[in-house]
Amino acid sequence: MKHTIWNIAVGVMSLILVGCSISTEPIVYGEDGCHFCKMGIVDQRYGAELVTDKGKIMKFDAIECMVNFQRSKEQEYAFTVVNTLDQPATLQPAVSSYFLVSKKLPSPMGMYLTGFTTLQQAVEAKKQFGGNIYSWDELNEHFDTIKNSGDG
Amino acid sequence: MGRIVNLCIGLLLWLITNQIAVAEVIKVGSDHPYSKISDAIAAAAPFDTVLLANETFFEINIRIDKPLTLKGTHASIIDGELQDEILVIAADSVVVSGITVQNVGYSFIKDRAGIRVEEKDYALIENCQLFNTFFGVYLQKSNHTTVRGNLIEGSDGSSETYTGNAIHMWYCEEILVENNITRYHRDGIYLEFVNHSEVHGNTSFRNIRYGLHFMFSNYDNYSYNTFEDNGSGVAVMFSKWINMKHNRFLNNWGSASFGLLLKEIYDGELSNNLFEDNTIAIHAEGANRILIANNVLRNNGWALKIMGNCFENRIEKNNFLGNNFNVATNSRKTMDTYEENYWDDYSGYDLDEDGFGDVPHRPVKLFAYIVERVPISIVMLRSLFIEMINVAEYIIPSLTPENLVDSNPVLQPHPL
Repeated sequence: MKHTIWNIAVGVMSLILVGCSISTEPIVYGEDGCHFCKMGIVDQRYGAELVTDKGKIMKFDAIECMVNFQRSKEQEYAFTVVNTLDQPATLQPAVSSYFLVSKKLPSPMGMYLTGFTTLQQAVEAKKQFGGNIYSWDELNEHFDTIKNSGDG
Repeated sequence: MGRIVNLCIGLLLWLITNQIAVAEVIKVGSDHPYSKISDAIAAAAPFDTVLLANETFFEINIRIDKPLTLKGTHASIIDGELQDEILVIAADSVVVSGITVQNVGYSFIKDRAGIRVEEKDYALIENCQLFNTFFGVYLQKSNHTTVRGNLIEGSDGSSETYTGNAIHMWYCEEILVENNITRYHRDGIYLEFVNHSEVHGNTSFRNIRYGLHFMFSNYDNYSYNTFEDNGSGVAVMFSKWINMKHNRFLNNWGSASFGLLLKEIYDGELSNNLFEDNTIAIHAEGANRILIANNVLRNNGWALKIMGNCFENRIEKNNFLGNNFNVATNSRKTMDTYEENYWDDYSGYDLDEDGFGDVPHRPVKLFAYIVERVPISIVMLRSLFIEMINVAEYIIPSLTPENLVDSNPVLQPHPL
């Protein structure tokens, strides 16, 4: 009897834990809206997503919207993921992605900012479109400069 | 003197006849000297007309690199077989008229279009049909161009959400977009860095994102358009001096759907429009110094959702009829003014019979305020408890914005 109650308790606990598991969620293009600018998310190359350490999911139509939002609010995130040009509609970790700012690739919010899964992919794109490559940290560091200059 | 006049007349005649002689019509088709459009264009002289026969041409990347008129009927079809772009206008003063352009394949690298104007001016694209063309008409750094009377349809397979905009303008000046019909695209009409332009008499429906979308564009007008059944109707973002008159915003339903989204915009006018059956008729965030007047807002979930970061807007002489919420906000203060609107939930009286209610009206109900804070409380809509707290709040305001008041509500709807 004691065992059964224990088992049930464990079962319930694990259910709760599973229910609370913190993870990313695919963007539904054409239905989800941007948490920051309210625009609909449609472009599978430019979306982005944040998941807080409590599991709240926020989706964005452009990487620049996500960065703008992050800078407006001091908070920890379990996941920071972006769409990339080489693998559209998939969510890649922002930390390992590279970002090309090129006038030839207009992103939804006017910063000409495009994500790439690997540095090689970004370099290939740079050969074709020109512009500057940033890592995630560099992007955050130089964000204001890029925003104001329309660099590329 | 007489000789000079004669000479002038002679010169004039010579000029005219010369022009007539030059402007040739070059026919393209299987029964004509040219069977390929690009060959005919290569052979044409400036200001010639290239006339397409009623048949289907399978060609892509046709560059019109001299001022020509490309004409045909809707049965003159250029089919790109889902490959690259079809028509590229690479000269000033090109006319494309009456033809059908179809099947451009989508690409993640390049925004391919059915008809692209590539940094040239004075183009006229009229009465064409574009079907399944990823991007429809794409104006890239073009000035003084007209896009008129076209039918532009994306792929209607609803699983295929990857489509471009029907009419896409990027860095343009003085564009006229008139009487077009767009549907099944991302945005029906999209303007990014486009100034001094007119969007007039178009119908945009069933587009995935917006019927019409402004980004970073100033001094533009849109009027007499209909936006129906889009993801959202119209979004005006990061723009100044946009005039919005006599449009119809209908049936934009969905959890995040607006009739009109005003986001970071300054100094425009929104007047004489109809908003009907939208989840949120007008959503304003960072909207400043806008005159919102003489509009009819009928049967919407929310008629006007206006956030605390909006300043000095004037909401005057509108009719609010049959909306679940007439005005909602997230702030306890407002910097906007409300005057002489008709509110269907106004319960005051007019003893001096001047047409204006003697008691000011507070259009934000307590429940609207609560729903703004705790969205899930919407399930309480129409419950007795809610009615009670609404009445209590109406009599003794404590949570709703204290100065959001229409001090001269009218008792009869404005004749609009």
